Amino acid sequence: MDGLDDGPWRVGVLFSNTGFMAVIERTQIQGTLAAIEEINAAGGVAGRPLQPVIYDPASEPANFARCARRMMVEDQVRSIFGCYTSSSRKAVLPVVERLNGLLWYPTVYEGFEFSPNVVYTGASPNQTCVVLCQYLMPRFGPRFFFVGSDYVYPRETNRIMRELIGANGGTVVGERYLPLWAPRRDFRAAMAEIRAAQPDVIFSTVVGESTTYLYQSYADLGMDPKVMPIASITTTEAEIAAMGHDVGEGHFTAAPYFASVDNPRNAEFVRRLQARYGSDVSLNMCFEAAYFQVHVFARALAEANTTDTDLLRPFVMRTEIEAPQGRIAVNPLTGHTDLWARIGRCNRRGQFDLVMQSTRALRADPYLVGTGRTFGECVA
Amino acid sequence: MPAEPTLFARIVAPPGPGTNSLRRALLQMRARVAVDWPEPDPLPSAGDVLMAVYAPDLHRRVPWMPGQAPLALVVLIPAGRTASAEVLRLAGCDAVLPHPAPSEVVAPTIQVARDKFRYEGRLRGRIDKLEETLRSVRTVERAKAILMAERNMSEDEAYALLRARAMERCVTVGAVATALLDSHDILKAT
Repeated sequence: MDGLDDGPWRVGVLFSNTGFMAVIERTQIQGTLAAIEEINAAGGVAGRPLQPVIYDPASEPANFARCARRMMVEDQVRSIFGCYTSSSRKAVLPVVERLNGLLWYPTVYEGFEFSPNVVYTGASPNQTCVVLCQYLMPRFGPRFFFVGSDYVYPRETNRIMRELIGANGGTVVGERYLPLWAPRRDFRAAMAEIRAAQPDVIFSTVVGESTTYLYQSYADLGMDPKVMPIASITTTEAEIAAMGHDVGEGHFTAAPYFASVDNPRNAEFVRRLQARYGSDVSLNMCFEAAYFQVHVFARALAEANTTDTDLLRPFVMRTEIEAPQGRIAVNPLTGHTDLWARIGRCNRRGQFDLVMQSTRALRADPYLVGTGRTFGECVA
Repeated sequence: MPAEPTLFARIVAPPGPGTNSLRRALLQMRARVAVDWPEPDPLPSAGDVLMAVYAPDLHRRVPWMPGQAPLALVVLIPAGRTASAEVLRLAGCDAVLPHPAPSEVVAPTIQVARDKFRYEGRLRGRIDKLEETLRSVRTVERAKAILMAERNMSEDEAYALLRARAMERCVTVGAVATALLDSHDILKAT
């Protein structure tokens, strides 16, 4: 009955600080802790501070399940902010479902899932893949090559992309998957294979450290992003910083948030975080989603006055806040979040110039039920 | 009629009259019974039902991940002892029995616990299958559209063809549809 206690509200923070996913997951740790710090500095929730319980699952899905269990069984945690890869989310899912916890998942993913024990605050395919295809096909051409890390998210995302491309008169000229821990030389070979297939666009679902190898191999082969760009929904400012700004220049990413988003709320967000963490802090969609979801949690907690999942969740499901990306809302029908759709082209400073953005948050459609097959029918 | 497989029950409780009468009740159910004591840590996970005596740290000694229990868990609560509902919840307990238990409640309690445990397993399997079906529905729709356009078939005929090929090959309709789309893409790309 934590609503009657006067101690801190315990919350889990479950992202990898080590291993091959650490580059991006560290930004989610930082986003989560930045929001917790802000909320505590403003007096906490109902006068009680948020107390993070932090474990490092070291990029290993089985560790995610073990740590989630430890948080819920040993540390009396009900809400866990965590997970980047779909494999880690799938590992944590049975734990939070059986013990009735709430996983706050701030990562773009492949959709086709709904658990009452997850709040999905990253983008669904209709908020990313659809707009990306819609933008790129008329400008670069209809021939796509898929390259991805070998696990559930890239394969499922490509299943959706293949359908979208096919329904709009395009073709997939090749598909290649590499292990998450694949060495640099494997990417050289893959990129040579891609070049030989002569696609118009390379669609990448490569994640983690190997994102650097993919883009660097592209640059090493002297390929030109003006002719055959890499398009992604996971390559953020953090990966660009890791690979080198010149290497990322000219390539495209679709995301709800870029640090370059032009609105007063984001200007204030960027200013405050740069003052707190230094001007080289990597603000990206993962940081922002990890950040705003803690504020959604705090808003719902203030109303529910308990972290008990059954009592807290109904308040989460109707929460709307002004996030750095713009106004967003957790959709009570799906447990997913209505988010903005944007496409950025990476510039020489490692930031994204916006080339397209929606005029409002797009309704999340994780099962692509209301999303048409051809672009003419799409909500974007 | 095939014989019902023998129930394998694991008891984790100290020796004594209560444990003996529990063992006898299980043997009367024609169950295979193993008694583990001193208390193994972690608790055993092989068998059909684990009957473990309550302890305040029971939830920490359960070796499987929550939601992935390999057997039903019945917790034995010693007479006069108070059990924490939170510990039972976190351990993923399927039923409780007093210890010692009246012999006539042992069989029905185990049957209820196993029935509930197996029902949850079937529901989990159904959810997995439904998620896969939801994903493949769109693939099947596209494959049907290709057959309708290129072979001049009706929607029903296109689906019947996919289904017939799936039956011949003992695979799902979704797998046939995926194969058709892949080959169609390859032909389009060349």
